Amino acid sequence: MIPFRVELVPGEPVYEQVVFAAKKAILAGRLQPGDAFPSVRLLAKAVKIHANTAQKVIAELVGEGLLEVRPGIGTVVTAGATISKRERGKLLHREVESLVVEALRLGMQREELLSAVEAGWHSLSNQVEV
Amino acid sequence: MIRTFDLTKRFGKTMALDRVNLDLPANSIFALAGPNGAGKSTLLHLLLNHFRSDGGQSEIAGVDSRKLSPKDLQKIGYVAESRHLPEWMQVAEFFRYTSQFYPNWQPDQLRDLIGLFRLPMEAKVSSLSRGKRMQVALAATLAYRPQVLLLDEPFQGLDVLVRDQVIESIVERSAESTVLLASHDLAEIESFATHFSYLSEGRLKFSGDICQLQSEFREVEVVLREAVEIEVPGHWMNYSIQGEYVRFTDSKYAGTDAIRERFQGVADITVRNLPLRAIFVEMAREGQKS
Repeated sequence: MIPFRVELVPGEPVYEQVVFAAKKAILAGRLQPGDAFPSVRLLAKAVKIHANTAQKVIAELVGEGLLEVRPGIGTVVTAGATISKRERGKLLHREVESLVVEALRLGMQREELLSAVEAGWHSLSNQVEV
Repeated sequence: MIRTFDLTKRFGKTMALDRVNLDLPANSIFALAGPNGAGKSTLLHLLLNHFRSDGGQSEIAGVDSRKLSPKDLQKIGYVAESRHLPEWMQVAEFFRYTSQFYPNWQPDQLRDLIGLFRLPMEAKVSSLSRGKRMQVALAATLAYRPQVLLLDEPFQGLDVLVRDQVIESIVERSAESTVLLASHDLAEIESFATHFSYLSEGRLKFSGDICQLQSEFREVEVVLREAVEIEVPGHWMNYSIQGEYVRFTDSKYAGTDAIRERFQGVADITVRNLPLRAIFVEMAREGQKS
């Protein structure tokens, strides 16, 4: 199995969806620096995508400096892999969107939602290692 | 790996295939979609020289279909529900029997597939369910590692878990083989197919790269400041207008500015990506109109 989950949604380029999921896993620490990243074959098989697509995903992550190629071992997560501020925002875009939609559906006010987020942030930020 | 040039086939007065031109890049997974009776299966039969064409040519694994030798067929796999299996044999016997015809038979590969599909080796072929039959046929085909694989409706009537296993076995081979897959199960193929073509009444209406297709098709909703009739460009499909509200599918989307330019006074534009399935429906609807 592979160390992250990808739920493919129809309508969006598969390649982008898998890159996105992998980035999220690296940033969330589910994949630690030095951890092996799945091979093309394994990634294709696990996510059920074409081998060429899997190849492209890995090349993209290497290109962005999140993975590095270790001859004889394969690709591993780069130490200190970071993502720009803009990219970070993009990674949570979907969650933020669904949170706002849910809040609106519940008839929440903007301030209510913000303070709920604020409270969540306070209670969790000390427990979660970043 | 597979090419057709103006391939044509008539059955009586019906044009089953009308000058079809296809070109499959090596290692592609090429989905051939279209309604029942569109000519998908006929195309596969012509490629394999099961029928003679009435015009044009086709090529598979580098050979003219009409000149396929048994040796060429060892490089080609074909799985279809209509395909005959020896009903009286046990599954294990069937594999042993099939292996004799293929010098490239890979016992390891077969063992993996038997495990993946959980095939009942002792059961008789005649006692198998639809899904298991498909998997037995597919395992017997993948075991000789064909360079070209033709699949006719491989997901029809399969439950979700079995489908997943079938897809897994196909993508496993994707780096080394070219796959032509006739299916109307678009939701299934979107994630792993590289190319998509749409056949309707024997004619190829569309053929291309899936990534490109996804980037070019958008569902567009426009709210106008005031209702106005405009000249609708050919690449806007299923155009409808109700008062100030306009809806269509852009098949050559190039940003909202290009859309804005067509109208006088746009209040709002919403653009959405379309799943392959929805693109297919739009194409079918547009096809019915003409």
